[in-house]
Amino acid sequence: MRKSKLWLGLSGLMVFILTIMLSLTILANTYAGYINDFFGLTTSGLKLKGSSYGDENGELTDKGYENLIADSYDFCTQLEEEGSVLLRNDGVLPLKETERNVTLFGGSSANIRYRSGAGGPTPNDAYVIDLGKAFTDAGFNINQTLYEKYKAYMDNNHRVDINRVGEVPANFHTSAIQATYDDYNDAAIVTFARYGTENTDPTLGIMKLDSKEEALLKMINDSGKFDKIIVLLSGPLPMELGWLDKYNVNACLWFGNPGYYGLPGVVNVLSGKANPSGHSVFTFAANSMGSPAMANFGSYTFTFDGSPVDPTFGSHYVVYKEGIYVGYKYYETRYEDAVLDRGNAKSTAGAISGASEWNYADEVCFPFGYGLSYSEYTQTLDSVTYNARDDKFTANVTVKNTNNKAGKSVVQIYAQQPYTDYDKQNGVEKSAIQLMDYEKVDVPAGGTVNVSVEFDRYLLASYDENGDGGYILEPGDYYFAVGNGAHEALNNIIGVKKSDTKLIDHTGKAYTANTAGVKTYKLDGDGIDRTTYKQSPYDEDVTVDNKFDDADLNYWADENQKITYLTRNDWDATFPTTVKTLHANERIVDGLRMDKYKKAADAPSYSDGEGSVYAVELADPIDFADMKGVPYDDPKWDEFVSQLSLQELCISIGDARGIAGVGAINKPGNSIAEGPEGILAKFKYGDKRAATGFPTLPTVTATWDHEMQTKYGDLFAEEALFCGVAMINAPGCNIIRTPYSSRASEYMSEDGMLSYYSVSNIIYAMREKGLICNVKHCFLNEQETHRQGVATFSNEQAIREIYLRPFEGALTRGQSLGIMTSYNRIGLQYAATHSVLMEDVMRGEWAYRGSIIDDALAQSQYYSSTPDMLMAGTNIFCLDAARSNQMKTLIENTDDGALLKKLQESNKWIFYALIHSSMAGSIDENYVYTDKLEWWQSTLIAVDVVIGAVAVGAIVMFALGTYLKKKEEN
Amino acid sequence: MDIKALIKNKGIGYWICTGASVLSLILAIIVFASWDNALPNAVTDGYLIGIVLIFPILIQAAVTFFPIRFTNVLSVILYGIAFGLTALRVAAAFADFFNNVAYQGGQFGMCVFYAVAVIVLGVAGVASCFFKQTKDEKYII
Repeated sequence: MRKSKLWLGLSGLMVFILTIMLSLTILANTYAGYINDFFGLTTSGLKLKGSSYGDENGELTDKGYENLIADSYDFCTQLEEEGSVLLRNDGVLPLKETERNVTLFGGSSANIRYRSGAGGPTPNDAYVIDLGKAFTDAGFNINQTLYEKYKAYMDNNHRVDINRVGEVPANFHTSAIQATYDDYNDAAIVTFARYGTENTDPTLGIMKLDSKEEALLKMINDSGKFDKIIVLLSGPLPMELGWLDKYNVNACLWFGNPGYYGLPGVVNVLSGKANPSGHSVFTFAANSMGSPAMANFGSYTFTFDGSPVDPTFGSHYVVYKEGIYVGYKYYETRYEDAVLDRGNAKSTAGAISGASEWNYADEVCFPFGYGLSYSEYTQTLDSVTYNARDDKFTANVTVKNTNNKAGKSVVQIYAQQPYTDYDKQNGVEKSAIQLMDYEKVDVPAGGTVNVSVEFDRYLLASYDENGDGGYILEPGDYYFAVGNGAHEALNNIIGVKKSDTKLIDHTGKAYTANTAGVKTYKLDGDGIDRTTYKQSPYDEDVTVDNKFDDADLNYWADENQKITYLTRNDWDATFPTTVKTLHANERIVDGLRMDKYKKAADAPSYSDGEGSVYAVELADPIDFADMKGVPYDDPKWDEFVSQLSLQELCISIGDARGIAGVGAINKPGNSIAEGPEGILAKFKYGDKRAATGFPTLPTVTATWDHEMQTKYGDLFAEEALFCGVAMINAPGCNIIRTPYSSRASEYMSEDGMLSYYSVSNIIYAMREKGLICNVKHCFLNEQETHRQGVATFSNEQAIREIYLRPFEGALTRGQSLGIMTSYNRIGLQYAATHSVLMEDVMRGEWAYRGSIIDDALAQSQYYSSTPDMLMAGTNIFCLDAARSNQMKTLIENTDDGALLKKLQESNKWIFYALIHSSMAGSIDENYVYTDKLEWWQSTLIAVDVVIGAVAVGAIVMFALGTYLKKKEEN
Repeated sequence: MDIKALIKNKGIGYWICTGASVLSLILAIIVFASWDNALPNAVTDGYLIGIVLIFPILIQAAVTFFPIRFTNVLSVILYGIAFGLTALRVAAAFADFFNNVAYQGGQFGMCVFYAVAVIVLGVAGVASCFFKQTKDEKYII
């Protein structure tokens, strides 16, 4: 007992162990969702139902899971078969049945980036299909000597990354290796990759052909052993492809990120087992740095008088000076103006280096919407009719397959609006060509199929921000056209408008317009129609007007720093220059602060229960399950929410990979999983492997098939049911504004309309299966550089017609009940504090009734301000359960009844969304929520208690020993 | 006060703890300088780790002149708290690393460094508890 040194040492040891254990216990409980997922536990005691793979009672079973997995993996293959884009084929594909001895070239052939590394599942290593396996499984003999050497070399330090093309050195292919080609020379199949991911953008210039890649192509050519050179393009970003001729490339196939199981689809395309039918979702530019958007992409820092108020989140900006001319809208519009010789379109502004004038074929390798097939199709636009009753156009198209291979043809309907004097004078821009809708159809060999494509006239209207503020339709001739991509459709239109125009295709060859692929629609009227869409098409009581004036830099900038947006009226004078410097004047400095919320002088008192009643004990309590089928505007919602105390109201706004249960209303806990490249979760059935890593969204979108996109959403949601997931942060639908938009694999395309359809198809299917999708990241989040806090400036026409359009589709056509705001600022306003965006546009114009979650960011003083976010319309704080306590403390300390009322409103939206999730189909009135500890939680607590007891014992022994020693000494 | 005699009288426990507290101060400086980039994006209060790591040297400075028997345990508690703060803040970077995703940001290597360094300091603190703080074992308390 008197060995006080020993007891002190033991005290120190046990205290240290105790603090570590307590830390780990807190940590484990913070990430309880992960741990429960790891152990296959459900926090709610609720087994989700509603699966098509369920048994006769709707129960999910191991057998159903096995069937689902089989279908998912098959679908991954199908997605690559139908989403890979055959860009070039001079007749070498499909490979003949006798051509099965091939050499796979390129470091990336042996280390494919299956997906981006952003939100999605981990790989199930035993089932992942690499390129070598995909080929050998399909009956090919690949050059294993070279393949294994690549495998050995291409570790994580050499594979493709955001700053590395992932290619072997020029001297890698020794003469010994080259000697192996002889037995595998039916084709040289070269894989090049470009990679994008979250948080950082790729190194500028990396989309060019790298010197190592060039050396590889030269070596293959110089070897003289291969008659066929086939290039596969991996990754979600468009490489520069102007070198295909130089290196005698016979065929080129883009396949994106294939997911863990999709590569057999790529091989099936090469072998001819599948007939390619994908079309590009972005323009493959000859110069990835040449688009007007690239003039302002990356890192730009405000200059301040003194230090910035918020250096972390308030120092950077980016200006979308290109306006609506993003992707093909730039290249095609400039093309029309160039061939029709107007708007100074031929000037060298923005032209490829060394050009004497701007020339389309110099700028574009493969246009948006382009893709080849092993079949040959002709498409005739038979008619376009307008039905005033439902305000829709219907295009009737005849598709003929002129060869002997059955295939799938994509009917792409494009439109051209009149570009009028009014537009020129008022800054209304008109793209020369705009996708309206699409349909994919099976066409038998030599067969003919008639297709009808229906689309809303509303989507044709232009946003006039400088007039009355609203969508307009101008009288004049509207052209509708079909074509293999935007360029061909535009050529067809020009051929009708001005038949003597010298047209070229994307290779620069003369093009003869398919005038049978064009129809003209004349919109009569005395003047501009400003009234038809003045009221929202989703809620006629809501007026559509300018909502984002302050997203325009000119709203804030000093006179000498005002900018001019790109206009087709003068390409030369307005081609964007980089906004390299921007002084933060007083208004900007003030605008950068997001901590503006102050309790109003007349705010109701929380403690006195003014304004809102809460913690009400109803005579007949209402449970969560009782709210099934109750319309959002039913007063029962207010009654339901009024039962909750402040503490309980704060539970659901905090997300810790899920939302905790609420005992008072018997609301089960629910996870919020991460996506969109599959679900970051494990199945709770069968072998409990990780969810499927599907081919990523550009590939899904590149199918140009409503059915495939819907099926993707359906299978994704089925997997969510088997993972016990009712809500997910997915899919993403920001615009791939430039070839360097790093997060492209989570997004869909460079076009607002294509993304509009793709995302809404996916989400509608997910909703059908009860998966609530927090579609992300709304909006203007087109770069990862400084994504947290970058002030993003754009004009309202571009915002409405391009950047918001996919989100509009997700929430209206897709009927989403979840949405995630972005990290960046809209103008100067942080998206998660943008009340105009959330309250006026989403809930107002789009009549949105779901919940709104922010992107994961902890409370910060000047930016991610909890009360500002809540009051602006944010409902759930992503991955930040600490906000719950912050909110509770804030309301208690400030006695702010206005915050309480908003908190109640948030709870209503959250519960309204969740009661429409798969939880609703799985819960009944008998469900009772119990806040039970899982076994691992109980174990941790027991261990903590034991260690604590030992620590206390050691301290007591030390104190006692010291006391006795002192007593003895005295 | 005879500083020389005071220092001469210090035991091994004192010196171990003092060494740890100096390293703790250095680590605190590293944390202040690097947490913004090293910790996951959502962390906005990484400096708290540094603040806690400053206290051990203050305690040691006080103990130099006013020897108190159990102060090493206080340092151990501080290292434990620092570990707790670190663990809660680096967890997301670990999750990203092991899930092979880049969702939360931060530098995995630096996060490992923070966590390991704090544990090493804690172990040194624990070790110091087993040794004498003063050679003559005279303490105020």
